[in-house]
Amino acid sequence: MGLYLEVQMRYLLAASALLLATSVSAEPFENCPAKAFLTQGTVPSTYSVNLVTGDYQVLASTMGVKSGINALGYNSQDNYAYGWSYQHNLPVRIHNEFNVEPLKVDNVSGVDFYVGDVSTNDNKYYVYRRGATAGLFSIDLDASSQSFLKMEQVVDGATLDMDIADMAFHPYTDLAYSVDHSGYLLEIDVRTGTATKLDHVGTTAGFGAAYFDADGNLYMGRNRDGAIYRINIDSGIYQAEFFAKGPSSSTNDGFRCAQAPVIGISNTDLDFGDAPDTYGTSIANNGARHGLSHKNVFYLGEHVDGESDASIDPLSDDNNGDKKDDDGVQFATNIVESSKAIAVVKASTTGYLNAWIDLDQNGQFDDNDQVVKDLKVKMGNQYVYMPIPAGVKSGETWARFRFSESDGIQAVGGASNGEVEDYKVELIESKATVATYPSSNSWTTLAFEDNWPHEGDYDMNDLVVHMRTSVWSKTSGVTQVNMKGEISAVGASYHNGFAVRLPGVKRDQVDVENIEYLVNGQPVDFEPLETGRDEAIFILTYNLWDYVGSGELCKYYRTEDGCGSDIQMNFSARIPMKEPVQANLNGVFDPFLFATPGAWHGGHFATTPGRSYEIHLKNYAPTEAFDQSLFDAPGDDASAPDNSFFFTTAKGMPWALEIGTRWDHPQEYTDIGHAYPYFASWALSNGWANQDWYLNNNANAPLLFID
Amino acid sequence: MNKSITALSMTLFLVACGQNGSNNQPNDTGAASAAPNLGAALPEATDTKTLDISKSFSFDTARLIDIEFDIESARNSAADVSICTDYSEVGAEFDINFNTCALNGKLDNGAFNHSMLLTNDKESVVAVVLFQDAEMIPLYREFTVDSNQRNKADGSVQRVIVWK
Repeated sequence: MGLYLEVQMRYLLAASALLLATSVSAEPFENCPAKAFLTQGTVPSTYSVNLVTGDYQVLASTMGVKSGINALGYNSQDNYAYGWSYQHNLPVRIHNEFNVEPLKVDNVSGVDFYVGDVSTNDNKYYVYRRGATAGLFSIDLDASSQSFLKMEQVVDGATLDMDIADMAFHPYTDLAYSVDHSGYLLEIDVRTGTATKLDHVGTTAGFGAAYFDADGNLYMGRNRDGAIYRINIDSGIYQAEFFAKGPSSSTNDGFRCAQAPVIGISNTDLDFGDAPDTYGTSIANNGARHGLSHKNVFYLGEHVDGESDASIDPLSDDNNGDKKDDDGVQFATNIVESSKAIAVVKASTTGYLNAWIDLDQNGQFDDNDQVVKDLKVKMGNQYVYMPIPAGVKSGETWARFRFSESDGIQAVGGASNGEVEDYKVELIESKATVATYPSSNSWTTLAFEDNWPHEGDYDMNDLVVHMRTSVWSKTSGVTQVNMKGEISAVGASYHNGFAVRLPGVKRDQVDVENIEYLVNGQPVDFEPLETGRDEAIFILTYNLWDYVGSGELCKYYRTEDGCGSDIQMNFSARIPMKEPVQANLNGVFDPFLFATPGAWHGGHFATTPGRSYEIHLKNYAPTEAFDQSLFDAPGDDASAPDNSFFFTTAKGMPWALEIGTRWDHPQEYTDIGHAYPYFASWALSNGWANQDWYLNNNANAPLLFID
Repeated sequence: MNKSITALSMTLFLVACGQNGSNNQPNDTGAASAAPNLGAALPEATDTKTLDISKSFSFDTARLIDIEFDIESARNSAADVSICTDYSEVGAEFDINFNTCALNGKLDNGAFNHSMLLTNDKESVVAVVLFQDAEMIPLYREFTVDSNQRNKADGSVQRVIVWK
């Protein structure tokens, strides 16, 4: 014990001297945790993953860095995790609260790494990147060693040429394993810098996260769909079997203590809600939950599935399992003060319904928030009437519906059977009409080419945005505009921003103080309603690449075959007016792409064009920020502002399209006319023929990028 | 240029199908639900650069529709109205997916006047009037979207659905 303490103290002193200055505390993990940890996203967040079930929860929505952490590994000798920080271009130590501390290592490679793990035997962190200028490197983590935190090349990345996205060390040997992009299992000897191709595992695509367990099982998480496969290395039979479904991302890596057995951490025979935890949602907060273990016949909608704990918004228990299960309640009317909100509720059988709406938006379901109390409902659909008192202010809030055999159920706590469904809802101001486009559960798509004023390749995926909007209005005018969206693809090397102009609305008519704009659930650090303008121009982002990443082995975000990922940027904007505004607002308003200020946008611009460069839908005029002289620049643009022709070629082709569905865009470099063969006849007929050209059943499916 | 003006200037031709709801409904994620085409006959692909399109064609995939309701039987009762695109007829009622509604509002003494943008793949809608008095039976009416059009002064066509 004394020797252990002495070594530990020496380690801590040495390590603290070699860590870069930081105020973050650095506690280790508990001894060899059984959970796997997964870090995802261009701005990384961390999940815990139950490998048995695929069940996952967000542990840390931020790691205190602005760009990705990758090449992760767990060191069972000091119980810290290690990874590579793209922000610091250095290895980092990760402590138990998932903050990172950059290590004072001389990065002799000069590059960043996304493949790495900690050798469980020799206490070294290994990182790898293919290519002659990179390779396999070791970083000694033994504080008592002369080479502590020295980065040394084992072999260059041309000699050891592996097309892999992660690797994991076996718990009891010196060998690491990985599955390459073609699906071959590689056995990597990091001491000699060699790899042996063992066998094809029966599946392909990028595996971005690799883990081992104490029984010699290798677990590989596939980026595009989150599928977790297992290969028993010790058996010598190298076929991958599907094991569970986890979260997906194109930027994806994980770590786990390889000496820990994989065990079911908890069962999944419970149904939880997914509202924020202030409402009492997770087990830690006595969340609303229903037992499912005894052939539960009490549920809402068509289906209920279980989880081991709540998946708190923005995750959702709706996404667990094979089927969506938040399917039992639909609001048929607006939720308006001094009125009854009416919902359609579908019950599986006769039982008791209770419901709450957080009417004062205080983040809790209080007693006076209960809008349905022990209502006996019958099997099937029925209208349920919920009285909304006077004085309720407009805004987004949450509703909770609980259905069970038992009456008297509260907003939190357990019930032996039944289901809980949580919904994000809007409280609407009195007498307002809400026009939603296309509808509350569907999307329209904006697809851009970003090579204006030159024609591009018409793959229409340089930027793809899914959007929906709602406009609140009274007879006196528009009172509020809402936008929701997600960035579906960025197939562009240029750095672009994305914005929406509200036609007919002046900036000073907008209630700027009460704008709410969230990206991935978090407020942004800039003023979204562009300052210094007369028009109301809403900036969704100045640089899309701040939020999305191409991921391992890919050049772009969600445009190339095998480069799937979950959506990495979603946004939600609420834009109230000071007073009702008489403006003709509908559809997607006036969305446009612009050049990121300070970013290069092609050799045809002598200087970075920034906000003076815009691409709008065809025949939409640019904003006041646009440099009108660009219409006269060399290129293929044939805009004629005097005739209200904008952003069109001489042959009438646009640089942007709006397509009224959640459109599956063409793969990289694939002409829209090849992916959607009816596009040509529709366009040539001025929209008369083949009006459903954009639907999947009219597409050449192998040419599409499909999730 | 105001988009709605552009949309109105374009004459679209849609065939009323007479079916309940649209042929291609969104699923729960809002994705186009039609099955991918894995080999059925498609026209020959055309290079987009070779197309020669009218400069005035704006590539819109939706059209604007005016709503004009004056429902006599709802004049003396507080009621809400919703207009939705995914539904099926079940006896005298309609089974409506209320997540597909494009408009939600309140009747004003039985009247409701507004406009909505509807994507071109939607051929019909259903309107439902729900009374605040739970004892009153809801009213339903189905509309084929392109069956009622008006010629405007500028020569364009405006679609309108009327419930009077």
